[in-house]
Amino acid sequence: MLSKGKTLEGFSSILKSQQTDALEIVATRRRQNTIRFSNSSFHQGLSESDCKTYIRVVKGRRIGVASTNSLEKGSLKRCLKKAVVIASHTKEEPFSLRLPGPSPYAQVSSWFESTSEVTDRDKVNILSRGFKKAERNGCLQSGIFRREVGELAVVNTNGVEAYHPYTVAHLSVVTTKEESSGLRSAVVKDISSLDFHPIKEDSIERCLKGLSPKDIEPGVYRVLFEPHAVSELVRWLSYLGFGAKNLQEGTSFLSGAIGKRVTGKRVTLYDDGLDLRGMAVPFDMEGIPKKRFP
Amino acid sequence: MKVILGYSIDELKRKRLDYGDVRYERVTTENIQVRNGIIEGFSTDSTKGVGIRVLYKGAWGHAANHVLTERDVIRTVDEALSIAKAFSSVNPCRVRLSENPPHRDTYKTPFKVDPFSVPPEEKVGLLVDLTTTATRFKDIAVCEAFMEFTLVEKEFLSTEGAHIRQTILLSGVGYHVIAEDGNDVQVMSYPDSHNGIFAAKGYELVQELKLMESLERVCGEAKALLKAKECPTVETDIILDGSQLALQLHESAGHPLEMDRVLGSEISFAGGSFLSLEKRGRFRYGSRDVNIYGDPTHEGGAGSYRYDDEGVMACRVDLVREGVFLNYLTSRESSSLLGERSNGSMRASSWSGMPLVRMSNICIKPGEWALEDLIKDTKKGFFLSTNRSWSIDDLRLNFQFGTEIAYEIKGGKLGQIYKNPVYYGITPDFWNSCDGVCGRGEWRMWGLNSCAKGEPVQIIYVGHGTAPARFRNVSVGVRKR
Repeated sequence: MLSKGKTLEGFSSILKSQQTDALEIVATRRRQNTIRFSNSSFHQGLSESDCKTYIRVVKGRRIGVASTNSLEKGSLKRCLKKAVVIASHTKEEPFSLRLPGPSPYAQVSSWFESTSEVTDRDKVNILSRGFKKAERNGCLQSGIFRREVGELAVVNTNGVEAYHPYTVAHLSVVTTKEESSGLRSAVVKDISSLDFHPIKEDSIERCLKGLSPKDIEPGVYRVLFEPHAVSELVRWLSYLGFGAKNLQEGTSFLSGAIGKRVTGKRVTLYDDGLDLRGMAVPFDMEGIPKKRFP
Repeated sequence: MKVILGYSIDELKRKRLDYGDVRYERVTTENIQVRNGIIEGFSTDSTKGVGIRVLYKGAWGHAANHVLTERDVIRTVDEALSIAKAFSSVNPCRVRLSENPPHRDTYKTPFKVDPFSVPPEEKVGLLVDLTTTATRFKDIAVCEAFMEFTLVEKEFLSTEGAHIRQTILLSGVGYHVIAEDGNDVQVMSYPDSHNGIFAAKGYELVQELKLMESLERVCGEAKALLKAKECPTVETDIILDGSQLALQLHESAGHPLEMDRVLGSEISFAGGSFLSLEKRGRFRYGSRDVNIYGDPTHEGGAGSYRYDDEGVMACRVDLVREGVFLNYLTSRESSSLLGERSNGSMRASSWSGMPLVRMSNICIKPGEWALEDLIKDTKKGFFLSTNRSWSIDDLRLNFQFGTEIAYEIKGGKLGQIYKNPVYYGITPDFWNSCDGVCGRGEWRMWGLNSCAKGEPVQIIYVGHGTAPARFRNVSVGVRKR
């Protein structure tokens, strides 16, 4: 991986371009390792190293975007040229895009050496121990163990210089037996905080509890959702409903509802990009600092 | 690049593997999205890299890198081998590959007009005119239009001596309008939902579709739906138009026929398949009118190619014949379990993905009916057009689909329209209720750019050749409290 200095240095010549009124670069670079297992055997293992650089240019009221997965100077220059060509030939927007200026960012610790250094053999050994327990119960295990080490950078001609390194480890285990299954998963930044044993054990227990389920009639019931299920509901709710563009265009189910009651009184939802219990990132993809807001 | 790829293969041969291959791809994409005359996005993307796959003592390893130097290639080979070694030390069974002759060939999908040479102003201008004109129709609040062009240049080499170059050009275009009157919101799409239709063609696809000429009908139907009644809840006969049948085919036939899914490799993500191994050759999947096949060699399909990403030559394969389930979509690994050769269904969505068993062009063989006659022959039912929603279980058995519009059929004639139509069923029961498929006159190749599979997820283009078809006594509508 590159350091902040080296990453941002690579973009300095692009930022000096005279061909545009304003310019923004969003770059990601990552190394991803994925192990998949099914029926208690490892069937797919993938190591991937890639990067992506998006260049957005503003010429008057015209915008052009181009991207590339090469960090070579020549490739970045060609990418810039493509963005400029698009901006030159497209139609004017009804607004003037103003890129944000520099801001201080919260210090967020998202990169952990333990996650970066874990080997394929370590992961295979940990997971295969779970297979034996599952097999003793007549079950099979399937799932994924993914590790990502990455960097995210946003720079623009107004002085934004945002950089954030991170690590992620994601484990998901599905235990199956007959018609039943049990899913357990976890996502962490620091793999040393990931306790594999309860995830594998819970998955088996959940599967065994689900054997010989009773039928129920379709109807109205009081339902208790587990945290995993609630997170799925909240994720889709935020994806579909909370975007400002959808609200402004009137295509969100929350359009016109600001200040009005939209859920039960016990429900409070907030967004906090800096909460270290989640995947904290100190800025968004335009370099705006993150903060908690309801 | 020739040198780097040659170096990669030499490095693989030095490692004394069961098998190894190298896949280089360079992909250029252009995307245009316009909404109500305003450009929402106009971008171009370029990506290239190499994916290296190894089979070592019966275990797979795959590594991919965007940096294409000799040093990085060696590292990538070593990463793939490290994974395979870790797996081989614990896996109880060894992977074996079916035989495949090493092909040396070059192939390009044919096209008439290079979309990347069409001036940007022309492409943007068309979509701006289209969306602006649409919103002049009463009650049409939004019109969104899309264009997407992708050029894939790939090169494949294997330790068995294969060397294949393929160039595949894909184009996609479509739009949808949103009508709203303060009480309701309805959507109509053309030529298909999910951002339109995709094909291995050039810009001639856009020219053929005559988007502007379609506007009046599409906007008129969207507006009419606002005042239409809700689709009733009833068991009745339905005729699915080609585009909806394409998605039905995709979800309830294509996916369960992927053999790696049958073997459980997607259990943790996309699920399994009800078409278990003992059903092959004997299970009645559908009626005698149902003949489903896969054909990557069909020119112009979104899933067309000459060789898959394992270097297996593409071929047409009968999957369901006269309703009987015959074959799976296979890879060299999965076909070896059947004691057969692969039918060339392995693809990766890019250089970085590990090839998986994927649909190519999954089609239903045209029947004998003309659509006009099929409708005339239907006493009572609905003609359902253009997908709006879909839901299907893990094993691809229980499904529910919603379409944008339903036309009532009464006494052999199309009548009033209904809104929010849904239908549902159990896959084999549904396909066994099929008693008529339209003929060549109404058969066309549809295409999607959004088939998802695998972890990390890989999104791929697939084609579906279909004609409208009738299904008897299908559950339509939703049960209300």
